[in-house]
Formats: sequence, structure tokens, C-alpha cells
Amino acid sequence: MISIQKLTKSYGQKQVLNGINLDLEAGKVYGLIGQNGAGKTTFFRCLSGLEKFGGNIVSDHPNLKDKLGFLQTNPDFMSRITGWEYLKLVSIARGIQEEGFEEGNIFDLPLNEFAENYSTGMKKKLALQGILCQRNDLFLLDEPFNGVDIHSNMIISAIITKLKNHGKTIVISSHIFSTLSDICDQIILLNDGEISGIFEPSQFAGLEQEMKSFVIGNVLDRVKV
Amino acid sequence: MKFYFWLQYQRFLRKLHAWGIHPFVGIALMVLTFGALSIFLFYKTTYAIWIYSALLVSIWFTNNEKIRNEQLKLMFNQRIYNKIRLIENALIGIPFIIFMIIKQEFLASMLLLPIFILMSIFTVGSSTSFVIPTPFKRFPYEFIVGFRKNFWMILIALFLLFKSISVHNFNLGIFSFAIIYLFGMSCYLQPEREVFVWMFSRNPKAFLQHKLKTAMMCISMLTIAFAFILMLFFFENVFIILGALLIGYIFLAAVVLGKYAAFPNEMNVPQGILFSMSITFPPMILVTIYLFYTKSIKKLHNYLT
Repeated sequence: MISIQKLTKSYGQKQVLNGINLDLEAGKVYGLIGQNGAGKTTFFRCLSGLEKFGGNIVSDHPNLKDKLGFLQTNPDFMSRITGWEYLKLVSIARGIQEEGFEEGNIFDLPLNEFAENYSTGMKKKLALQGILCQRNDLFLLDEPFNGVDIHSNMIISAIITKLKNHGKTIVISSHIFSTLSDICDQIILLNDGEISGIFEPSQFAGLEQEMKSFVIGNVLDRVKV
Repeated sequence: MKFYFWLQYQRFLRKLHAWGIHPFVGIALMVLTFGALSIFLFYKTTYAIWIYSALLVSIWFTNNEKIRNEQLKLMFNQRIYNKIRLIENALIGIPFIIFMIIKQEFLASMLLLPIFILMSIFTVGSSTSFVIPTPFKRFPYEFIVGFRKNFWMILIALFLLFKSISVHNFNLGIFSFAIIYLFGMSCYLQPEREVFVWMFSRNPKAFLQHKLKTAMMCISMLTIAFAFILMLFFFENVFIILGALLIGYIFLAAVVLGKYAAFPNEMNVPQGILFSMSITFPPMILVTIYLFYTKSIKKLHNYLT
């Protein structure tokens, strides 16, 4: 169980997160939605400890960071290291001595080629495989489906479900509502750094409809065709 | 093109500003440090011209990276791109060439000319995805990257080692040793992205221990072999070889700590000055190590708890 209490974050005068209160339970998948700039990535960065923040994050883990896997929107790799070497590095970072990455190569990645030369989707898959190798308990997945082919999207969804069944906590930020509604136990709507609603599966369809009409609104009237 | 160079100059000034150094002081310090180190190098060893040339080529090499050059190519047409590359490499080379001419090393400075032209025309690592096998595969990541980037330094060191044996010149052997340590230090000059430090489940002290252990292990894979060969052929100098081995380890440790003392930024001018002072007055390296270590612990506390 992770309890986020009055989480705030600002960059200079700009308040990005404004008093977020949220409980994340083990064995649950949470979806995080909101417009660009709503604070989703900042929320992930605060939760992972990459940013200093106001408020509290209380967890059962004495050091949450060490059990947390963060898949970034655009994973970045050092130049001149292969996929295999990257996986070795992230494993060593968590004290895991493992080398059989070929057997666990769920996405059939060319592990002996330079990670920097991978396509966008392959980079994301490698980064995901990296945080899976670390055997984390909390997974923060920032846009995990972006740039990834349809087959891999299905695999990622299946992995998320498997992680959930093993008692892991997963928070996913995504703009693909249909995927979120398929796999999430709750969807959190973030708006201007605040939680403006937490929705249960029974409310997902209504939420999607509401968002469509809110977001699209009269925008189409302004599009000159 | 003028705007491009103006922008580079502004970046340089901003960097000095970020370090809290007045541009005039910064530029003066750089000129003085360069001059002092050059004089010291030529005073200290008869092979200074080799080191000097290798240093210049390595700077050209690092300024010749694929990604950087591709960005330039995207921005400018071929003619301006070529001009920029030539001017940049010339600007880098001029201080070295001036000093070489002062030292009357005309032949070496002439030999650098074709390298200068080649480095300005060709891009390093262009379109090749060939993975150079490395003995450091199991110890990511600094030596893996460093080996693939600067393996030519190891080849030069090997050449000098065998040359030292063939002409029975011990100093040349020790010099090859120094190149290996320079190679090791070069692996730690660029900071990694914050997330690659953050992901370690270690406290700052344990993290530094891990990094130092990896560095020592990797460098030993090279230096112990070098030391062994040197001992075989120059056994009368066994204590000098062991001393050089030890000093190399200490300086490498200082560079590793220096990297994290500046983290997430690159090592800065004051650190460089401190390190240069330690080279000219070796006992000072202990103070440098202490300062770098305490600063590293502080810096790493932001990422590791």
C-alpha cells in the first residue's frame, strides 16, 4: 500500500501538482489520464523520487525507490551499449546477478545490437524488459503503448495483468482510453495538477463519453475544411 | 554560420556563468592552465609530442560524433556544414599547433594536417552498427562505452608497450601504462543521465564503492597484463612498475569521484584545476580525493538514499 498525501510540486512560480491525495493498493492497476501538461509525468517523477516535492509518500517498503520501476515516455540509453548490456546494468543496479536475458526476451529484441539504434517502439520494449528484470513491486508506466506495434501492445497488456495477479501495483499514464478501460481497476483524472475524479470500471464508458464531448466540444467548428 | 559560432560562444559563456566564473577569469584560467600543462608535459617527458598529438587527435575524435554531425547536416547545407567542421577543428587545433611550433616540433605539426582534414571530412561511427566485442561486457557501463569509443588508445598503448620491449626502453613502457590509465579516466568524463544513478538500490557510499570497484576491476584487466609484461622484460624496475600501478589506481579513483562530485553536470573548471594541481604535485591527490568524495556523497544524496 502506498499512500500519497498532499503531494505538491512547483517549478518556480508554476504550480504543477497541487495537493494530490491518493492511495495505491497492491494488486491493482491504475490509469492516469489528463491533458498534456496536467502533471502526469511530474507526478511519476515525484513518486519515483526523481523530483523533490512537498507532502508525503508513505509506503510499506522502507525504501520505495528500490522497488519501483519507472518506464519513461521516451526511454533513453547510453551510446554504444547493447540491449544485453543495458539489461545487465539495470539488474546490477538492483543487486540482481542475472545473465540469461535471451530466455526472458519476450519481445524478441536484438539484444546484441546497440540500444541507441533501436526504433522508438523497440527502445520502449527494452526499457520495459529492464524494469521487469528488476522484479519491482510498483510500476510507473508513462505512455507504455505509444510507438509500440499492435502485437507488443497486446503483450504489454497481458504482462500488466500478470503483474497485477502477482500482487504488484501498476500506474499507467496513457492517452489510449480503450486500452486503459480494458486493464485498469481505477482511472484517475488529473487536471491542472489536481485529481478531478477517480473512476471505477462501471463509470469508464461514461467518463470516455464525457471527456470526448468536453475535449472536442466546439473545436471541430473552428476547423476549416 | 556566424550565428552558429555566436551561439557556441554564448553556450560557453553560459557554462562559465553556471560555474560562477567571470568570462574573463575563465578564459584567462583556461589559457594559463593549457600553457602550464603543456610546459609541464614537455619538461617532464621526451615523449611529450606523442602525448600532445594523441590528445589533440582524441579531442578532434570526440568532436566528430555521428549524432552531432547529423544535427549539423540537418541544419546547414553541405558547403556550410563542411566550413563549420573545418573551422571548429581548426579552432581546437590552433593552441596545440602554436605550442608545437614554439617547441619546434614542425614535423609533428605537419603530420597532424592530414588528420585534421580527414577528421573534418569524415564522421566517426557513420552508419555502422557493428558491435565491437569488449572484455568488459559483464561490468556495465563506463568501460564498455569507453572501450568502443576509444579502443584506439589501447592499440597505441599496446604498440608502445611492444616498442618499449623491442628497443628496451623502460620509459616508453611506463608511458604505455599511462595511456591505459588515461583511457580508463576518459571512460568517466561524461556523466550519465540521472535516471541511471537513481535506479541503483544503494546509498551514496555503497554506490561509490560499487563504481570504484567496477573501475578498478576493469582497469586491472588491462594494467595487470601490462605490468606483468613489463616486469618480465624490466624486472630491475619492478618497484617503479608497482608504484605506477598504484598511482594510476589512485588517479583513476579521483576521476571517478570527480565525476560524481559534479553530477549531474560535467566536471567543471575548478575540479580540473584541482586535478591538474594534483598531477603537478602528486601528494595533493589525497586532498583532491577527499574533497571529491565528500562532494560526491552530497550530490548523490539527491538521487540515492
